[in-house]
Amino acid sequence: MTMTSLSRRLIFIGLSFLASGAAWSAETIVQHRLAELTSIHRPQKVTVGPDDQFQGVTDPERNFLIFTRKADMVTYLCKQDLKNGKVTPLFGLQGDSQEPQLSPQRNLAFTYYKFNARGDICYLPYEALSDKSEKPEDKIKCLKSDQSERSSPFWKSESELGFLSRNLETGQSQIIIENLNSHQQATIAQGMIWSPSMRTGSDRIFYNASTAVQGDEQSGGRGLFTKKIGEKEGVAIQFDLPGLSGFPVVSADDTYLYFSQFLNDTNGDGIIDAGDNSVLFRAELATAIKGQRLFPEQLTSAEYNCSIPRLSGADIFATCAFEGTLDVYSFPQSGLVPSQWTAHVLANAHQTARTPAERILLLNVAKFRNLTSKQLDSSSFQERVLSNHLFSDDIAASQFYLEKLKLETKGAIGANPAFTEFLKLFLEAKAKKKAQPAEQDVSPSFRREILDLEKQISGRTANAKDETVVRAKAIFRGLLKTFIDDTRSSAEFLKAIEFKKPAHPLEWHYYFELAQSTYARANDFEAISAVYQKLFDTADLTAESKLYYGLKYLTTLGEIKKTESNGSLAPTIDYRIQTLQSMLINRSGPIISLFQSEAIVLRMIRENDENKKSEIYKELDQILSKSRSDYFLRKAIYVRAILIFAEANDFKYLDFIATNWIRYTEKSDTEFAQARTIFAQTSLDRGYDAFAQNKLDFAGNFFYGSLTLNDDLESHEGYINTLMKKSARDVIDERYTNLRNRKYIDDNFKLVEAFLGLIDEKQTTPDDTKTLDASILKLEAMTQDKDSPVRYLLLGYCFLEKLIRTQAGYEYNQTLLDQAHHNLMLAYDLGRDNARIKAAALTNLGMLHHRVSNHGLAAKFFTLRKPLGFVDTNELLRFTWVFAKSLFFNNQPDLAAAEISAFLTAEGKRIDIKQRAPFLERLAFYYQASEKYEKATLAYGELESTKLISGDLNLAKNHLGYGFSLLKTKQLQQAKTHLKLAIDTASRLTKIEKSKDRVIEFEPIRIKLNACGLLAQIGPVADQVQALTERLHLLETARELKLYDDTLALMILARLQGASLLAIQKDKLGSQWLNEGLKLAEQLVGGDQALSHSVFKAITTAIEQDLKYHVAKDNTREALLKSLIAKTIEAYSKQAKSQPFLALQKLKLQILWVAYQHQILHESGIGKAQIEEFLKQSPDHAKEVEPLAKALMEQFS
Amino acid sequence: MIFRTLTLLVIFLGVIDCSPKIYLNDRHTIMEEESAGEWPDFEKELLKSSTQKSPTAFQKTEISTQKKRLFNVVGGELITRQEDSK
Repeated sequence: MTMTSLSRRLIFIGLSFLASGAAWSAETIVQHRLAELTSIHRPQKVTVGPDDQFQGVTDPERNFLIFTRKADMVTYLCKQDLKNGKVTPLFGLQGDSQEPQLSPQRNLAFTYYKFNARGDICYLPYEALSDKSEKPEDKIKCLKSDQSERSSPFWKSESELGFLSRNLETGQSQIIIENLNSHQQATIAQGMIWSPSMRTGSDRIFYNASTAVQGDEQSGGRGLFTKKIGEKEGVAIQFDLPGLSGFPVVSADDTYLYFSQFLNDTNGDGIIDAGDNSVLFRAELATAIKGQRLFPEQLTSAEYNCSIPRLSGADIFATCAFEGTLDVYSFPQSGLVPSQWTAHVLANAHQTARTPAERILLLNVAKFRNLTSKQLDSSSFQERVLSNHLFSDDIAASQFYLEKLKLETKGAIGANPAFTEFLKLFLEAKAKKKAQPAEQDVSPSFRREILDLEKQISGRTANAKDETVVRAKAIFRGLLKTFIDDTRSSAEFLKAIEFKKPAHPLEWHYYFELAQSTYARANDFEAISAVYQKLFDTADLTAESKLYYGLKYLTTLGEIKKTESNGSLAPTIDYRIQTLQSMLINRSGPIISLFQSEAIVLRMIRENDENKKSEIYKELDQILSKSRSDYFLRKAIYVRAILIFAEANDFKYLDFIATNWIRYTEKSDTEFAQARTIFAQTSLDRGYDAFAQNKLDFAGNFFYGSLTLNDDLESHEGYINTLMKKSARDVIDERYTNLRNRKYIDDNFKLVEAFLGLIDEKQTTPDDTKTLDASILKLEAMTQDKDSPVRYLLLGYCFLEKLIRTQAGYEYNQTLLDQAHHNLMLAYDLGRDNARIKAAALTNLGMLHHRVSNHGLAAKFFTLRKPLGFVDTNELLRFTWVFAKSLFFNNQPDLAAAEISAFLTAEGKRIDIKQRAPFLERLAFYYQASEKYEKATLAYGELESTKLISGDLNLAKNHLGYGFSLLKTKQLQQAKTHLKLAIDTASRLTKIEKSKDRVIEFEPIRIKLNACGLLAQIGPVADQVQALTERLHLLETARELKLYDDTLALMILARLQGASLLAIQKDKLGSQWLNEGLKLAEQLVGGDQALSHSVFKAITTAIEQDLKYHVAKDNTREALLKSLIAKTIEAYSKQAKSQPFLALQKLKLQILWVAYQHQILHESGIGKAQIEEFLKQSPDHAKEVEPLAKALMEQFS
Repeated sequence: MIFRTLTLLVIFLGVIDCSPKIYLNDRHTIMEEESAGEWPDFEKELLKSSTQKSPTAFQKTEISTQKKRLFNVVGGELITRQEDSK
């Protein structure tokens, strides 16, 4: 493979970061490089999987983690080996368990629900937790329970367990300590309390309490308290933070108190509690317990939503919720912001932060560590924090910091007391708005509340004529009008707003919010554009703010719907370029460069000629060069350029921008880590793009560049797949030897080996699994990226393949199914943010469950897979076939037909005619199965015209299906033709036995039987009787072959059908057929099936027919009927508790028999009285048979 | 007595081990077997190529959540004292 200059550039950029002189042994270059990056720590995921996993605690040596898992509404404790990641449930699932707590000696306490629905406090000695212990649940010991609800266990000492006991009647709780040896209990706190916590060996308890007067929830407050055991009252721990503190934990050396802080009502239930998002903090214990209000150290960002901290060594194990489910994560006890950062680095990180929550973390850390700088001075702290909380829509926190800012500015932010007052009222209104159910009309009570608040704003009289007051009133009154959907009024307020006097940036912010809310629905770009222009031109905003609004403007410009002169609705590129050029007039500042670069990028994607495009790019390159030192401008330009090039699939220039981004960023800059990630992702995307276009040299270069940068498994597989497509297998080994020697790959080479093993496999027999086993071993031995979704995908694939190869018909290995499913589900869960991994995982999951006939689940996975799209027609073809099959087996034949039909419509012309035939056949079959017979006949007809049905087997089935559909659509002559062809073709077939690939044996007689049965419904009586005769003959053969369980019943039915047909023609043969039917019924009765429907049908048909046609007495019939009636009535009577339908049948038989005895046998003493007596004996069913009884009795002379 | 119990136990375990596995064919399986065409070679090849070892090689995908975050631009903080020029 020839290295292009591009790939050399990529490698150079990758290698240029190699720190000289660094000495490392097992660590790869990539790991070393990543460790050097200046970036905020990210919580490291410890537990993986699609279920919620929380409350994790580790032993002091960090050998294992005990945590609670919640799956299918059941909570149970699990143990995870922290070295290999293996997880096992601790006990069986007979009882829920949760809230694990480990003592220093590793004894485990927990809440257990097996013996008591209110919960027991139980414990397990350490020995029972070891891997050698067989049934740990046998060693569980529980404290004696009472009527209270028990929870929150903690270790006071190795022999004393504490817990919370709540009285369910009064709602009051107690914190109780029980001695495990003497069982003596001591109550150390009581009241409205919860979440107790104590460091083992300490004498100080922490707990949450409500100081509300009992029965009056509005009084008092909720908070965190502490006291020493024996003290009467607890001391309230006060933090200079909004919200509520909880889940306190003390460090082993008694230095710090760690806790969760719930800052806002994020779940919108009107109360701040543990149901809301959480941030972790810590404070010096000695100061906290004095009750002084203190400012703690923020450890995590609100984005990660971490709570329930547990300390282990130098780390915290916390439960976080930001990747779809709750999981246990770990990070340093000093928090996510590295403790060695200087003021300069903090300011840099603040500048490059990606979210307001991240900025809040950095601001709080800077304040706590007293690391302020020129860029982050302490005087602007409150404003900055308030600003970021407002951006995050954190209402409670915003209200808190607004109050603090009011104190600082004496009630006048930006020297505007009116604005400050109104902002407070606005936040109140916003809190009420958030509490309203989404997508519902404005309720009258909410409208009243908003109008009340508006009145308070409009009623302010101080300095009423001052422009700043008038402006502030208009802004907030307008915003309140948008809350009650009155955009007409809000538009009027908006138009009246003037900015003749300087305004605080917050005013501009809310002015913009008002304009957006007012004009969004009307899609009025001209109006909102005018507002944007004011923002760009004012002296009140920083360049950074203007660039932020500039980006919003560009996004809006790209999304507006504009009717063109030709009637099309699209924000055309020409329109966008023209609009941008008009925005440049009489304007200055960095915003100009942003708009210029946007226009250049749009011109590039409009240009098809590569040379011209390259010339235009030079203009962009110049702007990028000039803006090198302006971080905000440069980033804004990069973001817009990348988004536009990505949208236009122009990966070449997208890559240029990403390269530029990383090139102009200093390695020590906190932006570097972000730029690096973007660059790596861009390389990967470019690799896939080139692969799809079959530009394999480029693809290989980009995948190679990506894997040298990240050593990520996806890049490795992409690279190998590319070389394999180039038929360059021999090059792969050489490349990887080189990579290993240069320490670009170490542990991850196990995946490469496993992957190559599967590629190189030469199966000796169909059930050969040696290579799969070897690959599984290698993958299971991985440590570095053991939680990569790519690894789980490959593992899942191996187990799936192994299951397929060892499967025989319905028989398969359950363990392989479980392992394949487990690994593929992990791949799906961990790869949820990567569409390529997700698609592959879903495909494999669907295939897995399809193979083991779990069709409902297969259909569900395929349904999730479909919207992700397909690489090419072949992939869609394979998917459609299996998906349709799963739908059919899941009793959804109509959906199966719809899938095939849609595929043939969209792709039919692109597929080979030989592939078209199976799809047409399936389409016809699924239409038939869903009773859409018209469509079925059309599909069969089209299939016939292709003449691609080959082999007598398929021909016979095709004729049968076609004939049946034609019959159903009353095209009888054609139906007859095809059904006869089905019989003729089937006569040439022989039986095919069951095998590994055939779960039911094929018996051609079934086709003939079905065809004869259908022919018995077509044509003159003679033909129908002929068909029935043939069918009976075949049923005799079927009976010998034991093809059906109910052959006799089928034969009876055929006899009765024939008898009915012949009776109409008054053919005496009909009577013979009836007698034959009754003889068969005798056989059924002899086989203990007197109650079967066939017997009932035979008797009633015979009697009814004879009565109808007034036949003469037939001795054979009489004897048969007498015998059958006696035996069946006896059988009905023996039913201990007769089922209603059997009782009804019995009654019918009885009255019919009376009629027969009277009318046909002329037995004396039999008449209406007997019928009336039977009706009297069965009052429950008399009404149902009354019409029949009446009709019969009318016939009596 | 013990000998008899053990003997019965052994017989019982043997019966359990030798008892046949019973599979119930549902209506759809029978219907497909009896009425639907068979395309063994087509289906075999199709099923063989359907399972995937590596991520699906889409040419382009939606921007991931991680990437969206990297491209996110936070608004300038709305403070009274302005640090830089307009």
